Amino acid sequence: MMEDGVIAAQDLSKFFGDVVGVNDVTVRVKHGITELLGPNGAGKSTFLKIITGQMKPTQGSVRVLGKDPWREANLFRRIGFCPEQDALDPSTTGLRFVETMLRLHGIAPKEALKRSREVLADLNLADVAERPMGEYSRGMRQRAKLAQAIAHDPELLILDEPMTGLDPEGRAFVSRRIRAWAAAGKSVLVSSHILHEVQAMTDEFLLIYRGRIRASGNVREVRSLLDEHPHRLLVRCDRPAVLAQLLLAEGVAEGVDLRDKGSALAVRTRTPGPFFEKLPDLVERGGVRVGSMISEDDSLDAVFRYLVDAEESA
Amino acid sequence: MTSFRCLTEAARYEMMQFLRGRRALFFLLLLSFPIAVAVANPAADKHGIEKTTQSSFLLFPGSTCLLLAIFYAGPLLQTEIERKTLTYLLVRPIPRWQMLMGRLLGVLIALEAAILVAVPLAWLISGRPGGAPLLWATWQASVAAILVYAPIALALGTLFPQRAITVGILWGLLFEVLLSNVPFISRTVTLVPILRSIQALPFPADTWSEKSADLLILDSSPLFLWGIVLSTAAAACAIASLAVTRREYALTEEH
Repeated sequence: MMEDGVIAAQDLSKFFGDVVGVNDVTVRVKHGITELLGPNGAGKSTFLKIITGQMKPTQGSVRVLGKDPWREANLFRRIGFCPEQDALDPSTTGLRFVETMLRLHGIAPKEALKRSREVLADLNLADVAERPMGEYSRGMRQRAKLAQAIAHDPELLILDEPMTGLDPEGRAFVSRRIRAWAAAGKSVLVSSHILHEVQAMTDEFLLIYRGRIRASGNVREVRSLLDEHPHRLLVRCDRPAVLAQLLLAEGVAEGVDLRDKGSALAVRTRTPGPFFEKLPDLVERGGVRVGSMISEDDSLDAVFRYLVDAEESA
Repeated sequence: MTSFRCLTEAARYEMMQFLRGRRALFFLLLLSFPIAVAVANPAADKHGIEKTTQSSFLLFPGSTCLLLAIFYAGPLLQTEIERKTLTYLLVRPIPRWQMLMGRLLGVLIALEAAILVAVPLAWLISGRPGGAPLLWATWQASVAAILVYAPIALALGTLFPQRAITVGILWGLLFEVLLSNVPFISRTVTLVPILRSIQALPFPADTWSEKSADLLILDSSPLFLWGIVLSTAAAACAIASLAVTRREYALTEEH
């Protein structure tokens, strides 16, 4: 099985009428952490829905841990899936949510409750475990979704945009957890449309664009292509001017603009690695409270265009 | 996980959700039935309008139970799709059809339990019209109505997951309301005559209004009537199971 990879797709296609979801994808995902990269609408979610048995392929085949995910429900004992959509029942507590999902895995009620408490504590949600999820912050909800994905101790974790909407601290936390799971012997497939998130976790990636796998392999190769394009981020915080000064003084930002009547800071950087490394310190030094950080980085699209152009001219 | 465990866990999942959102509204509607009957027909026995009160009991299985089935069992998938929570259920080690049947079981348990309380309560508040036979008749027919209407509503919900309630209401209006009043057709394509005949077993038809009595399947045995109810329910379950096994429901705006 491992020779074939944890996920093996052969000539995989999915069409929605005239719309292409994924197109003739042949790929093997190896053991360890692999990032599935691509802009919104590239086909990442469709690919993940197929490998998690939520959709069936129009053509081709897919095997996950050696089994067909559409037909073999038992496979999901070995898979944990964290969906992208921020959809949780607001009236259910985090504890009840995770416990219910565990019980649907056939785990006995007492054991399910015990394990739910443990996994929520592991994700720093112990204090809010018995509060309705409607009262959770975006980061807490994200962690509750992660909790249901890992609670049954799966061999393969499939995470769809797990960083979306998280603040820098939350991103760092999730990134650390993903590395810890991989270090514990799990395989993890993480989808993202933000390239710099990849570097913190893995060197292995799949690049999907317009439904096709355009590139795969080591992330540094793709990153080097990005160096000519500045990354753009929008940071919402209470003291954007202070943060701007610190970023410029530290030399990790190439340019900054105040946005939204001074409540947000648009940052351009050509060195995202050092930028994200130093940001927590700068935020602390300036006494800045960061509400959210969104990547406006569309330079990945430029890489995709480059790859597509290169492929077409070849 | 054994099939039984799958069913019970899925049923439990459904029952946990039973008192949330718009479902809670209709659950309250069911439980308010006794009060509605009492308000509509105060002191029925004393003022000689027992026939009206009796009618409201005779109509209960084909009206309130029908609506309850449409609103509770029909949108089992629609609700999850709208809330975008279906994903969490699809990635559990339970075959889709077992998940669906387990949840249907949860709906059946909750609705039947509510009916077992609401109907006698209504009967007591209304001054015990028709005596014990009417209570027993309404009880039996209501249980049968939920048992057969819920799987049909669920099957429609799996075939038309985006418009489960609308399709359910259209089906109910066309078949169980309009066509059920056409004598020949009603006995072949609607369930109202079956439910009425179940009511007629303990509560004889000669006490009914003429129109209602016309719909009865006379001289039919309980075995035959319940056989129709159970076989129709089984067929609807099979259609729902087949649909949920073969169809995709995880489609969202982003592909």
